[in-house]
Amino acid sequence: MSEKVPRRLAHVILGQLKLDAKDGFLLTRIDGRAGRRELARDTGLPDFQVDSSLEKLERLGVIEFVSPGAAPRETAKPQTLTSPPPSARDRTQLPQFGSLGVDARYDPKELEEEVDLSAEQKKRVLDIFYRLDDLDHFTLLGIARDADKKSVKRAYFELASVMHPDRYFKKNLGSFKPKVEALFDRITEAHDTLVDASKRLAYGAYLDEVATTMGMEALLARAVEEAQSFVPVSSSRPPGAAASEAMPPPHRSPSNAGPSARLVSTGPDAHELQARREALGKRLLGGKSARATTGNLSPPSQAPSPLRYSNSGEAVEALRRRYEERIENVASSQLQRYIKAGEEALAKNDIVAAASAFQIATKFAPNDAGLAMRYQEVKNDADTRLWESYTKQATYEEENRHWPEAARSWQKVCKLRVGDANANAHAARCILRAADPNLHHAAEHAKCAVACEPAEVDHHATLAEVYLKAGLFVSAKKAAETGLHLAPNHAVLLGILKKATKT
Amino acid sequence: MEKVIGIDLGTTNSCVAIVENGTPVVIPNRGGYKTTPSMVAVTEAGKRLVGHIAKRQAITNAENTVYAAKRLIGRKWNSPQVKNAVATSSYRIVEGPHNDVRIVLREKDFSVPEISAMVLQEMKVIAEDYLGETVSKAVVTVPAYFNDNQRQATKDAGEIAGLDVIRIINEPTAAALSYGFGRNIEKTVAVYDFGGGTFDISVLEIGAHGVFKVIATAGDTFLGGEDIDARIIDWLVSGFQEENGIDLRQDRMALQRLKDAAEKAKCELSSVRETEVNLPFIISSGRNEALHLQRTLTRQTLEELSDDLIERTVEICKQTLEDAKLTKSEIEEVVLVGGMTRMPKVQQSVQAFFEREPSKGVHPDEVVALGAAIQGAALVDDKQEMVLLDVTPHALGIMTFGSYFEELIPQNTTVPTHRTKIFTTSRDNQTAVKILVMQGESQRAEENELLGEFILTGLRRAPKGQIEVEVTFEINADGIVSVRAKDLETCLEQSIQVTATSGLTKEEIKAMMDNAKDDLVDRRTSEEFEGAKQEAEKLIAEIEKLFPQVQQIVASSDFGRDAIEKAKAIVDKARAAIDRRDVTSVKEQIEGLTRTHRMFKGVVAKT
Repeated sequence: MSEKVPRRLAHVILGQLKLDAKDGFLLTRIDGRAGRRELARDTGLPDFQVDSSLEKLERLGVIEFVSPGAAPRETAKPQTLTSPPPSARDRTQLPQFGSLGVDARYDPKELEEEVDLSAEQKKRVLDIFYRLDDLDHFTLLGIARDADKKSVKRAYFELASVMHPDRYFKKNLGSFKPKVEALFDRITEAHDTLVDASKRLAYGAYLDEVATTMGMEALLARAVEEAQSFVPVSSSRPPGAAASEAMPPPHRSPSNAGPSARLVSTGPDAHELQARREALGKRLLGGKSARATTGNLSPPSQAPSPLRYSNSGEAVEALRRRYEERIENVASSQLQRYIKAGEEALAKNDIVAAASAFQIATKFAPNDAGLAMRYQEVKNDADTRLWESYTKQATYEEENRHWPEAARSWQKVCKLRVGDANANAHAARCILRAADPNLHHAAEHAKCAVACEPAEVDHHATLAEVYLKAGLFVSAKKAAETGLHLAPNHAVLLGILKKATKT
Repeated sequence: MEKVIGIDLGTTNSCVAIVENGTPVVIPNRGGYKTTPSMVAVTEAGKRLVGHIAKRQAITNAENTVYAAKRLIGRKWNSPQVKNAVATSSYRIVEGPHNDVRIVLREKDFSVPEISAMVLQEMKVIAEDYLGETVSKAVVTVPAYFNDNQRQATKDAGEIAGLDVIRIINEPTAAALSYGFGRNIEKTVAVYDFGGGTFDISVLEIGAHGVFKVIATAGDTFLGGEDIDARIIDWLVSGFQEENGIDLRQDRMALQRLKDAAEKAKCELSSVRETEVNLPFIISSGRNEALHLQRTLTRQTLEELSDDLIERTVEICKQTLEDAKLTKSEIEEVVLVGGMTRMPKVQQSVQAFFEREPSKGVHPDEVVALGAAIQGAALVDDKQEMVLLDVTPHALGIMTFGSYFEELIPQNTTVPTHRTKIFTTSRDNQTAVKILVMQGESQRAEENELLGEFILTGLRRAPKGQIEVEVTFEINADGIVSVRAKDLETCLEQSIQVTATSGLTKEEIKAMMDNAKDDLVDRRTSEEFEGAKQEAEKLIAEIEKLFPQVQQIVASSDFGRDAIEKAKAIVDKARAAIDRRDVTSVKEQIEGLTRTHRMFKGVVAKT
């Protein structure tokens, strides 16, 4: 009887889950084949950590446990850290179309409209209609990412048989009529995209890009949070975390790390840490459990036997030495593991996983300047990768005129490279095009674009347009005038100026 | 629940069916025939005749007997098809007040929908006699390749006949519905529909849950059995002229007799190898002497006469499969529909092309009406588990600057659907754009059918290319097209619901286009073009940087010189495309530039 293995569930939005770096790192190694043991080996994480992470991931609905597939992985080769690439195509068992979630996004009043539909039908239509923007083609049709053409068709036909407006011919559908038509339009778009090999390829690439950016974001952002959480806040933390608690956060630049970056700069200094360590040692002497569990990585040593020392000061000193030695041993073996994992990931071009591994490694060797530099290097690459990825994603979305999505993606690009004038200008314009534009954000981005490339007259025009739309005529006028200094005959600016002055 | 009849309004014959207790059945007419000739006549006494009676008196009343009116429905007076009909018909066709077509019967003008209405009314009466109750709703079929104007004219005919046409569906689709109805199969089916006046090919997927999805459809609305009859008539007429020096076409009654004889001979040759065409006293010579026509037509001669027409249908099949991105092997069944598919040569050609023996499961004359009845029942009866996912047979779009047709909804798009594109102004300080809604496949706008037009005004004065107009096309489940244009800056909007007419001629369109030229939108959005331009220019710059080096390395070999010439040509083409601001072309050239650039880098790297 073989042990069940964890497998990822598709299309879980990782960005919305509270995962830490270890969970994230572990997640990248879950491929539906590796079991607990292999995962511990592949990630270099202690067994208990793997177990608790898996538990957490299962609880959050990110993974499930299944019997190992037809081709179980060899469990030999214990020395190597080879891990199969996380397989995006290995997902089956998708949420079914009708059961997408519990929270209704529609106004219950909409159900009261008197139309020729049953309450069930109304609910179903509204439920899906208000989620259309969030559903990818696969989820919409309720099929696996690797579903073949036949399954795509079957799923589509099943939906079409209830969603086609002809099913409600000459019936009074009221406000549901356009919604039903929109649903049919979307499932047809999904079908037409997925049965056409080249369209499916482009769409798959786009989805991969979205998934990668989401995974990378989660991984990087949580790593930052994790680093922050290393500062022990209370003594009530589980003893198992003690070893890592004592590690200072790695030094990292806050520039590119997203929303939580600014939290990092307030890490404790080395002096403070030393004091904490000492306090910990004292606590240990006070008769409390000294079992600094570090998992099964190093052979589990027995709890310290009650040695006899002539004076208590000596005993304290010996115990502390012993404790620190052990921590150092563990730390160095962990360090080696993470560095190795990082290099392995790099060799496989999985830059984000590498960055994550190096980041954790820096925790074990906070004073290793070389390692810190290496981490920074990889981190920069990972950010670049993320930046590229979002740019691609945003471009695809903009081309397909999904304005709100494109705006969001461009905004993310901007976050990764504050000085990206092009991205800022795109972001501003996409926000303007979205149905319900946040003009405040648009203005921020337009201003940013102007600040980065003050000589680019089009940025001034974008800014002026945003102001005009927001009804800030004085600002629009000013922005237009600034732009006109650069290009006195710029027609758009002249137009805006005229409008702004008139009103 | 009200009964809905299905009517196959054919070029030569029509057929009516209904779903009774879940089973579709064809309703026979009073004479016991399951099909009724689509013929209408007015007698000397002013009495209207429809169907078999009209056909029987056709020879003696040729000038006042209309056949094949379907070939004229929804067409414009100036169209070549109408010109052709004027020359070959035994009844008089004249120009109507709206550049449409009128038929003169006993000194009275009839519009084509009026004539078709008489046939539809006859079918309605047949159904009412059979059911013993009045019928007011119908699904009527049209050739898949009919455009919106022809469909509208058919709908109008229904209205004149007192029928609420709840849906117009395509003939091959109807045939597929009938073929797949209640059989619970999952198959990809090609329907080859070669009828009296039109040829259609449709590819459908029949799936679970009673879903029929049309994948592609194409055809020719002026290619059918009538054309083969015409070839036989030509052959008989020219033979007679050689022999007697008399042109039988000058005599309308002789022409009608020839037509009858040709059709009869064609049908006979489906089962026998040769047949005799015998028309005694066909015409009087100048000396008051009656002449007879007597000739033997063999199957081989007929096949030679019709060879190119059959070949054309095969060509269309080929094109359709390409459009549908399907290979022949993916077609799991071929269904033959229409009288012409009885011809052995047609069957052989279809079998040879699809490499599969066509299905014998359906009756070619009845299957379309049965399908129409099935669709009618499915629409009004909740218990019927069947839904038809139909497509647009023609592309829909607008005319852009330079008389280009810019497509928004491509051919074979499943309806209902909507598509949006952004256009820009095409000249400086343009304050209005004219949106000309068109249907067709040609890149040249004037070759397509104009469906409607409207003007969006109040644009801000700006250099060309700076004002963006968002155009949205929407087709709802009933096939109604609405078009909306929106100024993205001011959010001003203008829209129309396109109601097809048979109003305008090509000349009129042309004149209108000339007038409107300056107000048209530009199909290229500047952003898209700028992106492509930048990419192309970057590549050109890199290629040119490498140029001297590459030239030095490879100039000694013929192959190298050739490659350099090619590279130069690609660069020149790309430059020209940039100068033309032709975004599609620039994008095309980028591919070539990328290849050249990669090759150049490779050459330099090796040395």
